[in-house]
Parts: sequence; structure tokens; C-alpha cells
Amino acid sequence: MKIERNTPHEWGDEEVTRVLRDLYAAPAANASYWDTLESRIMTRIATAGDSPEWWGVFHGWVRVGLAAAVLAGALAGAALLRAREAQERLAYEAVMESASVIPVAGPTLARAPSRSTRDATLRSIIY
Amino acid sequence: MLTLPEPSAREREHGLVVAAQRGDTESFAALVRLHQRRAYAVARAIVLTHEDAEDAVQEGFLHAFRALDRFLPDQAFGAWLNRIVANAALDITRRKKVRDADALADTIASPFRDPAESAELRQRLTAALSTLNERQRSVIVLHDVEGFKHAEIGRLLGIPEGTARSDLHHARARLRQALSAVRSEL
Repeated sequence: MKIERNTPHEWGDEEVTRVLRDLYAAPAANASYWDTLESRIMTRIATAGDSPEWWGVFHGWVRVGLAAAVLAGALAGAALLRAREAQERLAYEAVMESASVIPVAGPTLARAPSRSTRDATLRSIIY
Repeated sequence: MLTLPEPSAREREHGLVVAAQRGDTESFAALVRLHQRRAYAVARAIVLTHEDAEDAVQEGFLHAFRALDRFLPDQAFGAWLNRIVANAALDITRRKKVRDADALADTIASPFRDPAESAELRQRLTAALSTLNERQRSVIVLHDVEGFKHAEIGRLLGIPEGTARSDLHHARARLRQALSAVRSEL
């Protein structure tokens, strides 16, 4: 059973340090541990030297990848430009077509006489 | 930092570094033997588990081996290596980002502990440590357990010396507060 004091003890820095040291103690007394760790480190270095890191595989492909990316960017840009032009042309044509069927009322915008009307008038004057 | 009191020890290390730079792996293995304990301590202060500390040490030595040609042999090899190991440990911490207090309490306790120590105290301390942020925990362990100075801690963790000093102050206050109720039970 735990017995709590009424006035809790104030821990000093030394006591905190002592407990921390115990918690974080390295396996110092175990010599074989360090031998094992050393051999693991050296094995890791030897292995890493034999087989490059996974991203190293892509090292030779960097230039090709960059060129492909630039080409793809240029093609995408050209396609975008064409699509935009086509869109503008269609929009222009749509506006022009709709403008030709808009009824224009009033004498202020009198339609210019057509060629056939003009010819008929000339014929009546002459004959 | 690993102190080399005798000039011969420093000279020996210098010779090992130069030989390792020429490709002598035996010399690099000797450097590993000289520095692995300190490297482990640095990593252990930053990561949460013994296993992660081992990984960080291995990563650190591997990076050091690859960057060996860029190291100037007149510099302190231990300080250079410890910075690399600290970076490897910080990378592992960033990748894992274990913030759960229960997980921390389970994993932070080293398997190399004194069985006579109060389980209650350990539990309380690990819980208290879990309330610190990663940097504060690293700072207090590097300072109180490993004996690094504020400036050295700043260089290891990439923070200003004043920040290390302030983190240490706050971390201690927090731990003292968390542990104050445990004392009477011991």
C-alpha cells in the first residue's frame, strides 16, 4: 500500500539526473554488445558499398528524364495553345452566326439595297 | 564529446582518419570502436528506443564513411561524427513521430536498467518525459546524462545555445514537478 506524505518532496536536479542516467544508460558493461554493434556497422558499410541506394538506380536516367519532361511540357503547351485557338474560333463563329439572325427593327438601321433591287430600279429607269 | 587527454591518442585518431580516407576499412573499424559508445549515447538521447538508437548509429557511421573525403583530418572527428549521428537520429524521429504517451512510456525504458529501481518512479519519470517535447527531452538527456555543454548541444541539434539552455531549464522544472509526488513512496 502506498503512503503519501502530506508535503511532497521537491526533487533536486541531482536526483532527476540520477534517474535519467539510469533510464538512458548505455549497455556499457556488455563488451560483446559493442563488438556486435561494430561488426553490424561495418557489415552495413560493406553492403551499402556493394549495392548502391535504391535511388542510385535512377541516376543514369536523370538526363533522359529531364529531356522527356521538357518535351512533354512543350507538347502539352502546344496542345493547349491549339485547343485555345480552336475554342476562340468557335466562339467567334457562334457570335457571328447569332448576330446575323438578330432582328433589327426601326428605320435607323435600314438594310442596304440588295444587288437585285438595285438592278430592277436601273432597269425601270432605262426602259 | 570524446576527450582525448593524451596527445598520442589524438595523433592516433588522426592517423586512423587519414588511413580511412585512403580506403583502409580496418582503420575505419578502429574509429568505429573508438566512437560508437558516444555515438550511441547521442542517438539514444534523441530517439525513443534502444533499437532506433542502434539504427541511427549505423546510419550515422555509414554517412560518415561516405562523407569521409570531405572531412578535414585536423578537425575533431568525434564532434563531426556526433553531428552526423544526431542528424540521423533526428531523421528517424521525424519519420516516426511517436507522440503517444503510452507508447513512449513503454518504449523509453532501456532494457539495461537497474532492477532495484522503483518501478513507480520509472513509470512516473517516463510519463513526465512524455510531456516534454522532443527537443527538450534530447537537451536534458544530452546535458544531464551525457555531459554535453549547451553550445555543443546547440550544434548537435541545430539550435541556438540560448534555446538549449532554456529547454534544459523548462525540462528540469517539469520533471521535478512530475516526480515530486513519487518521492514519499520510495
